[in-house]
Amino acid sequence: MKKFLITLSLIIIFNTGYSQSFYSNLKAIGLTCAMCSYSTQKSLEKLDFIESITPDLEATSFKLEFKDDMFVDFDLIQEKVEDAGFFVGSIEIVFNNNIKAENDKHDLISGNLFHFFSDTDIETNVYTLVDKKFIRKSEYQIISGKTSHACYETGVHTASCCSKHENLKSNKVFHLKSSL
Amino acid sequence: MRIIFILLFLFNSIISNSQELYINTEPASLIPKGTKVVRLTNSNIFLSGSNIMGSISNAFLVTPSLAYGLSKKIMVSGSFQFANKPFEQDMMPNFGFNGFKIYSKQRILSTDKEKYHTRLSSFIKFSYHEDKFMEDNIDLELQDTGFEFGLIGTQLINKLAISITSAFTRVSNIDVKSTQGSTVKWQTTNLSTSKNSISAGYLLFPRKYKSYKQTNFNLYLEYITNTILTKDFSNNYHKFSSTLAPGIQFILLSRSRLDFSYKIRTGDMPEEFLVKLTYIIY
Repeated sequence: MKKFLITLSLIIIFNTGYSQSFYSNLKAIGLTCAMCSYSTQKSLEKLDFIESITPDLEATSFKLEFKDDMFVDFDLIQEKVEDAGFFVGSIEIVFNNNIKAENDKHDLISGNLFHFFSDTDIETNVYTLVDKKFIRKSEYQIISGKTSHACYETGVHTASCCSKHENLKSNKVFHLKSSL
Repeated sequence: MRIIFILLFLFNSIISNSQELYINTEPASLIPKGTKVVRLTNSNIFLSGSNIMGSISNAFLVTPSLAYGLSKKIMVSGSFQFANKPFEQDMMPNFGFNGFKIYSKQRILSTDKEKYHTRLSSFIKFSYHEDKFMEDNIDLELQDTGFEFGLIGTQLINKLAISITSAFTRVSNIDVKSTQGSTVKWQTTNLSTSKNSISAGYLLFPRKYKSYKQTNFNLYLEYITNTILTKDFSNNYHKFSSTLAPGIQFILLSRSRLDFSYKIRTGDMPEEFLVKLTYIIY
């Protein structure tokens, strides 16, 4: 019985700590043909943390699912789209469960550090990546005014900027805003 | 009035379905980093016009080429040309090597405003060919020796894509006949031209994209002009010449292309039919 309980608790710990609890919808822009979408997909397939890619050719968007236990680096996703000759229009992150986004708070989800922005206290599971390079300059300036953390500018987690986090897979922080 | 409606309808469908994988000209976009593009082009030049001297058959050209994306900003390509050399004096079929081409394209600008993209690239090309097929024509792509550099701009507004190429060409294999008394002398000189083109493409099928396996069917129209800039040139050349090239294209499994194009040249120049097969290696 004791053994069983230990195993069970280990399973729970590993599952909560290491499974990827979100997927992404990537909207690529500048694509003018089916070959372009295929090139983008082939370029994205080179990323080892991507588990599967489901294209929506009509919308030139891709649903990206990620491997467990790996850090999801959205900078590399952008790099691969640009290597194929195109641009990232937007990246949406959809969590398995609703998350209550408190404005200007950090949250460690599956070992990936996210920084949330929200105008309301509503719970949702759909967020948009609002890092400097993914949004327009004017929008960036508005969001910059809502944070006291330097990581929004740098994209990197430091002891002076953010509260202490254990089990970080990477020092990179990505910034999310609720789509509501 | 009805014509206006038809034109509006056509324009609207072009806007929503444009394509920029041109057959006879290069688009401003580059091939993706690290990919190789293998291509085989077959041209048939119908040398039956009265201006063609001594041709014994149509010109039959085969051009294998390989392109590589060095980075997202630079691509290079090279090709060899094999031809049946229909002007050879010995009247024997002698299909063989006739030239090569090297080409590089660099991305200068690419903006990503929503629904409004501008792409600008520069390119440089060097071409060497042993035999000419159209004596009175200047065509660095097919038969002349020299170099070319220029700019390609592609403008995408909503989904309408139009490409414009503007280039300077220096051709160095121009034979000029000079008569001094009773002696006739041939000498090779240079000629500079300005080459400009406009290209547009339109996706006809599929109407709705669902899978990479769907075959695409595209229509193209390209218009290429050549203007001689050199002041003194042999009068067998036209100061201005142009080529109209309608074409169709099949894209198979999103990684192969089969193109057909028919080139109509002004100034009594021979027409040409070309088939191009492209395969992308990721």
